[in-house]
Amino acid sequence: MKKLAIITISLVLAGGVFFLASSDSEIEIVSPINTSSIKENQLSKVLPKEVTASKGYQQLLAATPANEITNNLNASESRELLQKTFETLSSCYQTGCGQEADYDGFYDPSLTVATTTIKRVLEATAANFEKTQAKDWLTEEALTEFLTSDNRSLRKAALQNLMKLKGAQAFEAILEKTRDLEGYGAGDAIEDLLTEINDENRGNLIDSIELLGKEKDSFTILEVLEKVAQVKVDLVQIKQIGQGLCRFVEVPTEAMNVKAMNHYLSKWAENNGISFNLNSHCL
Amino acid sequence: MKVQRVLVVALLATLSFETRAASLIEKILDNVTANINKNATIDGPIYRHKDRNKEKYGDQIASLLLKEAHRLAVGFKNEGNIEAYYGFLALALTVPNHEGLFVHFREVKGKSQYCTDSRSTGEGILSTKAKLQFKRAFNGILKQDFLVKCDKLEGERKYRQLIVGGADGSDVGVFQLSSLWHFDEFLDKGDYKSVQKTIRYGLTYLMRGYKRAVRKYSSFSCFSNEDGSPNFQNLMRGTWSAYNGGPAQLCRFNNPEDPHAPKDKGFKGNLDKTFALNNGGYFGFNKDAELELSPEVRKAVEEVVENFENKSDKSLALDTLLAK
Repeated sequence: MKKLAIITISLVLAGGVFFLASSDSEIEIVSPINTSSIKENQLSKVLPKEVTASKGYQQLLAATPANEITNNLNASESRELLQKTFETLSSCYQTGCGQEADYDGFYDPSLTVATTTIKRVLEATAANFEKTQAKDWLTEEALTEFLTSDNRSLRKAALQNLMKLKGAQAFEAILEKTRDLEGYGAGDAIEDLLTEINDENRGNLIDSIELLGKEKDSFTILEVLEKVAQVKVDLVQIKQIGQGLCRFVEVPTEAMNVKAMNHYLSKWAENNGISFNLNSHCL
Repeated sequence: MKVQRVLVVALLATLSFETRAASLIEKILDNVTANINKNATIDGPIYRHKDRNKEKYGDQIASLLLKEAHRLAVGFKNEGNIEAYYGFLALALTVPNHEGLFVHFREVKGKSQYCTDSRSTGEGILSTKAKLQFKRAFNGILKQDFLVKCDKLEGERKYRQLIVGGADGSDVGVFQLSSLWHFDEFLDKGDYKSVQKTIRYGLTYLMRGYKRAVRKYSSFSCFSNEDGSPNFQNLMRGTWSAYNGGPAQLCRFNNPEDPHAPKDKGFKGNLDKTFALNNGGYFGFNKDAELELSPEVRKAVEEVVENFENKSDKSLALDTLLAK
């Protein structure tokens, strides 16, 4: 009888353990929540009242296509909404304008509400440059700042506005700024400039790439090299760029990146009917 | 007689536990699904638990994941970085299992027990901003109602559902993308209506962290072996830590004292499941919810793991799958 009781209890316990083990607490889809860790992050706390009370504010926040944000506003209303939003959020977006990690600890500075709202502002101005009187309040300095953002769409919108602001001089201004960019930002800026490339400014682009090669980390350099395969280049220029990369060749921890650099440079050279090998060049 | 009765009860209790465990995935999904408008167009595959293998759900999901992962990672392969390439493909087979149990849409019988309003309306979402964005995306503030309350599905024989997880129902789909953080580039564009587009967005976000980690691995002690070479398993774990916690959390997995360490431990468990695929392991949330794979797809999946482990590039089955 005692034996039977032990078997019975063991079976019940085994079933319970089996169930609990299967009820995997590691499942993200039902991860627990600590309600005390909710920190509200309303943009209305940082934006001036005249913005949050304006009739365009909800359109700015909502899922409205950027080119329609100012549809129901006149020029003056459009400008006030966008300018004041831009200027307020520009001063605090790098720290999220009060937004903190959410309840499960997630925080991505490139996806904060402030960052995405600035992106919408710049998309709206790019789509309605004249109506929003953007040339009177958007500055080159402010826009080039956003070329360094980790948010791809924000970088793109900033670039579009710079092109409109600077016109023919935009290419040089942006090229100048790329020297301050890192990683994905550098690659995207160069890629976006390729649509403006011509026989006159190509040399400057190549010079900038050479400079990046001498100064930047391998991640940044590779992001740029991945984008330029179709750019016209001659052997002298490729060699000059390659020369700046020789500093990585003898670094063991850069072996993967050097292999990648060689791949992109070889492909770039091949597209221009020439032959180049980084390792041979750096010997 | 009394002892016999106790024994029978114990056996029934055990069986009861086993029965519940056998449909554990259904029990979980019941609590994290929202109801799709019967008139909405979606692009599957759709998970139907009992028919999942008859309908080759596993093949469809695995193929989508591998194709999208290949598209994003092929640059590594072209550079000659085979380990990085297969590492990302293996990551692609792991993250959607860990996040969303490989389920984005599911279909169930039209019974009231499967229909709850709260997840469909985002009522439980704690962040005001996230709730607003959820409703904008799903509840017709500016667009058509994609998610609806139960009364709109009265009389329907089947319910189609979207996975809406996280503790408060703010995370969407097979990649559990947050209504707060992934609104502009994902929810607002309606990409959640397509499994392929959701996978594409989720993997693109994952790649952002992975690529940076691969290129800059030597800047992080958590990614370097003792001899200075990259530790790709750690790179994969760190990529998920960053996916889950944000870009600054690449090395979170390496700190057992971190408050989120249990999550990283859980991810490791699912990563190990992926690595077991070329050793008879199952593909899916658990053994009882296994997603059977056809021999061709199974071989492709095994090639991914084998090539990652051996730093090789034998990819006949994978290439065939990618070409389809």
